[in-house]
Amino acid sequence: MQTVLPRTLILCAVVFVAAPVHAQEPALLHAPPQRAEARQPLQLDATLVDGGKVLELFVRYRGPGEPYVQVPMELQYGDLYRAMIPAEHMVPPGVEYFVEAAMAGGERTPLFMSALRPARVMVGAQPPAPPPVRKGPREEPKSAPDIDAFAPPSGGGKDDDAVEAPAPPKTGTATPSRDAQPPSSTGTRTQGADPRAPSRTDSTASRASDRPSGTDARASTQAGASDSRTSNPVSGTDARPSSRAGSSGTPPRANGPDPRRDSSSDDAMAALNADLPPDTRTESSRASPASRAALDDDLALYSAEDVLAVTSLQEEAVRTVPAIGASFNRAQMIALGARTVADVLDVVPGVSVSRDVQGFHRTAIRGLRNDAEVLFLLDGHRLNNFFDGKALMNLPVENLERIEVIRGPGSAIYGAGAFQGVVNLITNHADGVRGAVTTGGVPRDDGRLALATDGHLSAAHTTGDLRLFADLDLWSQEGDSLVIDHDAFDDETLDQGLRDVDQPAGRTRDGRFFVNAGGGVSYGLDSAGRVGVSARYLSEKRDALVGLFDTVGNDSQLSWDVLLADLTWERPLSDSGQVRARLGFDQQSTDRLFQLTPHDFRTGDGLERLFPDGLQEQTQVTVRTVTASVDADLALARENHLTLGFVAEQQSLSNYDYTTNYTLDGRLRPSPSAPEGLVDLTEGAASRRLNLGLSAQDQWTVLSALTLTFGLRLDATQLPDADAGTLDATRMVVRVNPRVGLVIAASDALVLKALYGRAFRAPTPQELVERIPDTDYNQGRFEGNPLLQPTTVDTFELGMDLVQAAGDSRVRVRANAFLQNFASPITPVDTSGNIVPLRNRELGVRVYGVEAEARLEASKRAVAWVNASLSRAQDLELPDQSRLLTDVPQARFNAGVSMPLGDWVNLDVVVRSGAERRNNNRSTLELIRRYEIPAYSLITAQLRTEPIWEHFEVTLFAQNLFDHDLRDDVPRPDRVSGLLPREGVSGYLTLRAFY
Amino acid sequence: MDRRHLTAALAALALLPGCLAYNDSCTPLVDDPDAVVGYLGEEVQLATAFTRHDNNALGQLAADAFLHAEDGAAKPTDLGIINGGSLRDEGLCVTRTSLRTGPLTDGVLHEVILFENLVVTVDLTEKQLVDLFEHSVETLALEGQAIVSPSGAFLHVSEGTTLRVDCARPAGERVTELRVRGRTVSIPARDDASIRYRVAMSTFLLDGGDGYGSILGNAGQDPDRNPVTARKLGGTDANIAAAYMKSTYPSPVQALKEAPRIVFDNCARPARPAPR
Repeated sequence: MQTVLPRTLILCAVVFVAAPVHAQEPALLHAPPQRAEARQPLQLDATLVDGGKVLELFVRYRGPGEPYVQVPMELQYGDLYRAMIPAEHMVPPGVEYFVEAAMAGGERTPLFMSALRPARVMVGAQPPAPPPVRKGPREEPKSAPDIDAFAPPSGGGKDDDAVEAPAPPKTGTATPSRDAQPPSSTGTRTQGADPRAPSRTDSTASRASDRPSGTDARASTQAGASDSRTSNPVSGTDARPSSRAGSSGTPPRANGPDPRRDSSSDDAMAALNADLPPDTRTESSRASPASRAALDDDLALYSAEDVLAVTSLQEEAVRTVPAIGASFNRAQMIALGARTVADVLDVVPGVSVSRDVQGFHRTAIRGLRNDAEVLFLLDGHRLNNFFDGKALMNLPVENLERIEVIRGPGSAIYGAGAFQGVVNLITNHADGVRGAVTTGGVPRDDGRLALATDGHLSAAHTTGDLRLFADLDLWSQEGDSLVIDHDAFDDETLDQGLRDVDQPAGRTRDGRFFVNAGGGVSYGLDSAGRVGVSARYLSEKRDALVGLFDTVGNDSQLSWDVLLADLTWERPLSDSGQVRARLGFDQQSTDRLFQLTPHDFRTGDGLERLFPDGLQEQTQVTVRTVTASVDADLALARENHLTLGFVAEQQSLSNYDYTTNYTLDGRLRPSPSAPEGLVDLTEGAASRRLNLGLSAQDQWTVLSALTLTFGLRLDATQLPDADAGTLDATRMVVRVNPRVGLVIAASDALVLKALYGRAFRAPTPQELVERIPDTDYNQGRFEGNPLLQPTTVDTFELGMDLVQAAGDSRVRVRANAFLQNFASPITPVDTSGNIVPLRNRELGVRVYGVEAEARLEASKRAVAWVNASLSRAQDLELPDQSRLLTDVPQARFNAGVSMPLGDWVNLDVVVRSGAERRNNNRSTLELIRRYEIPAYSLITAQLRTEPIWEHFEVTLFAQNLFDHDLRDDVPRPDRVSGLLPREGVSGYLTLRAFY
Repeated sequence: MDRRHLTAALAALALLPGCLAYNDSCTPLVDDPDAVVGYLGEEVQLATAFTRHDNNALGQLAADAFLHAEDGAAKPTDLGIINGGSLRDEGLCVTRTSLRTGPLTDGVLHEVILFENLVVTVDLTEKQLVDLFEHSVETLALEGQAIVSPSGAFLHVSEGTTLRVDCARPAGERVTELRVRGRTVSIPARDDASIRYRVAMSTFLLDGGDGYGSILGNAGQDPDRNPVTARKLGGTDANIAAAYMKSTYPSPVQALKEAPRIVFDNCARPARPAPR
């Protein structure tokens, strides 16, 4: 990479400087047809300009899922070239092609479009329905830079010109007229929030009428180009257009381009638009990606771009967003053999998901793991619990359209909690009815199959201005049951005769019942925008995998209920901006009952020291949040987008009940009650929190290839004032969090990023004030510390994204390096063996590393990908020899391959592997609580059918195929010496239906 | 092009494992781990049954060292105590079940007295003192029972202090005799807050570790109890013990041996391995 980077940068600079000179480079004038008849040969005509160095021209085309085939373009007369795509390749839904020149120097240069961005021609009948406007994951990136960048060496302008202009009058054969635009295109755009829509048709019409007068195709073309560019400030720095306008010497076209069109698009965008079927020609990324039409699915021969909405209000291609991100669409999730969000997150480079003894899935990003520091959003609504920062995030993937992951602080738009990373879960609201049933399970070591079944049903419908959706997920599993040989009460239970020496301390339990039900309605009020109401209910009841801390407690029961409700309003602005407002409410209730000891456990002699149900403790917490937010996306100029946001959020801890069935000195209580001396957490200052956030993010395309992002976020957070002396005193802590991003599209293939961001997070109420009774059974646990300070992180990132066509395949390579400095991080470190208060690590934690991924798409069905990440986390408070934090895999390597087995079946194999983990050495206690978890590789394999009768899909898959004995760490490895076993091999059958 | 990518990817993969790094858990805790700090006159067992259920030479060494941590102060220290849980057998790299007779190095001593607790000398009332020892012995196993998971709260005492424990008696009444600096302490304790004993202990205990919180209360912060944190040698328990060993047991002739300071009646005793 080191050699590639400078070379590309130099190339980039040279292209800028030498653009006027390069105006004499060859260019091709060609108008691609939009539609063609099936089984009829397609004739393509083109005029070559300044073609002195061109030896030969070729058309390279491909059908759906096929590799490129090459046909030569024959010189007809003058500078007119012609090629035919044979009839047998003209099959629905369409073909894609580009034109390449063999140069005198021996190299091949694309003159019209490129292998990565071919022109599309729809073949066959009219599209069944006008697909709504959207920017789905398969669409071209919105950003201009890499579009313009495909111009060199032929000059981007000429390409646009070619397609904008009428075909040379001599030919007249350039296939179906542009006037005959399919109704779908206009329907689409008028329906969507695309202000350009009508203008587009206008401009087409204008050009059509322009045609007869166009005696000199080239002249009018270039003039047209020049006037479209003069309105583009970019031309001020780009010498090409003006020089060309001058050389053409002709006045602007009589009709001229539609002014509205000019005001809303730049020429680079036009280049793209002109060559894409109208359905996909949209920059209106605000419309729901869920509303994808089947037609477009067919046309998306290759999965083009993955998009992120989480960095700004708009969806943008991952490769060009000012953040290091990843996005998984539905097809990718299915190809992973993923059942839950955790399965998907675990293959994101830099992300590792582990489980803890209580059964929670814990997401570690870049070598650090802290529940409160990864922000989980469900359709933009925060899922993290106010009290402890944990999120009920392990939803079944069937209901999800997309999962977006940002490592690092992401964007200025999201504030609280967006610290180590952001995960945005987006539910599927596409019109239609979808259902799925998965059943299978885990073969237990007693020979029984522990059943796991989940079902999904969702429907969405749009009638006129009204959109409705409803969905339901049900999940039930018995879960694996694996042996835990030792726990903290080994000796006591043996001594009391509660088990035999050869019996294990217990077994894991992983039963789970989960419901996810949601629904919503939105109504378009014409010019007044769109109003929507949605509500969602999540409910989980499950076992604790092992227990509370260091003992097996099989009677433990954890329940978690989440209610989310949103009232939204959004309205497009006339200048392609938009404004959104949201009023949100959520309530989360958790009820966690932990059994600490086996049944009939004795803490001493006497009846009051016998615990028939074991020692138990129960924590019931209810938190509520009310959020009001307004944000606006304003197009200050075509190349400058400003996003402003304001959010006010009131969080409260409305109920906190901590009860035990034992007294501090180990006697049985007649009924569970709060331990002596426990303060009521709902009364103190930490129980209420007002967050005010003000954000501004400006995305400024300075040059067509250079985008700058400046973001600033002001957060004012109400925190307890420990200095004031009274319990109720609060103070507003104000933090300024700047973000700067630089995105350079060095070429069509290469995008470079340099990013800086600062984020902060306030301690959770649990971290501030939770008290744990001082008993023998709680030693080694952590309790709150009212003196905790908020923590901040400064993140520096350098990223690159390279797309290359290798033969007939497409290869994407992404890589980034990062450095994160955490100031005063909140980290639980057991320093005394007692109940330890949390504290800020004063000298901070530093993490640096690299992440890389590559994806090769040979066809829609044949895909291979690989990613690897390496991070090093250091606690700077420690001497050199014990600085490294190694409880999260420092290196991860994931790979997958999907390949067709015949016409109907696909095989997907996914490998996840992680490096060896060891205990941290931050304190002497951590030093002597040693563990080593060896490197692991888990393999998921599945057989997946192509859609059957267009409505069904069947998948048979196995997770952890070779039953690798993966384990995770436990808080007391000296007591639970075998660590925490993870689920073994499991197999499932999924039937999906969509209509 | 693709071949180059592939090669680069493979090279990167091959390099990945080389980039992994782990803390060196075996790094010695002191600068000169091989320096001899003194001599052991007999083998010292480190299994929990010996550090938490019986007299232990190293426990007694540490308690003596604490006792002398504030020598020269206006009010002399009456006794030093250390809990058995502070003596560890894990080691940094290898578990040591025992320390052999002969020279003891600074590195090993620091691995046994692993936690770097500070030593604080503080006044306790007689009631606190007696409660301290009652808590120390309340979970000792009765004679004939197996010693399972002995509590780390068990206290070793300094020279001049003796304790007699009867495990046949109920918890809370097991201490039958307590002598501090040769003087007998009244059992049960007199409820007179003016009777004070100056006790040296680790911050772990004073902060409430091992269940001593309810007995010691806020003695560590109470000016009336005159808490003094040791300053010499960084004030940590291992450094103070090492220095004391160097001065008191400097040769094989003057070597450290266990003294019968705690007398166990009707208590289970760990089976000592046959002398080698």
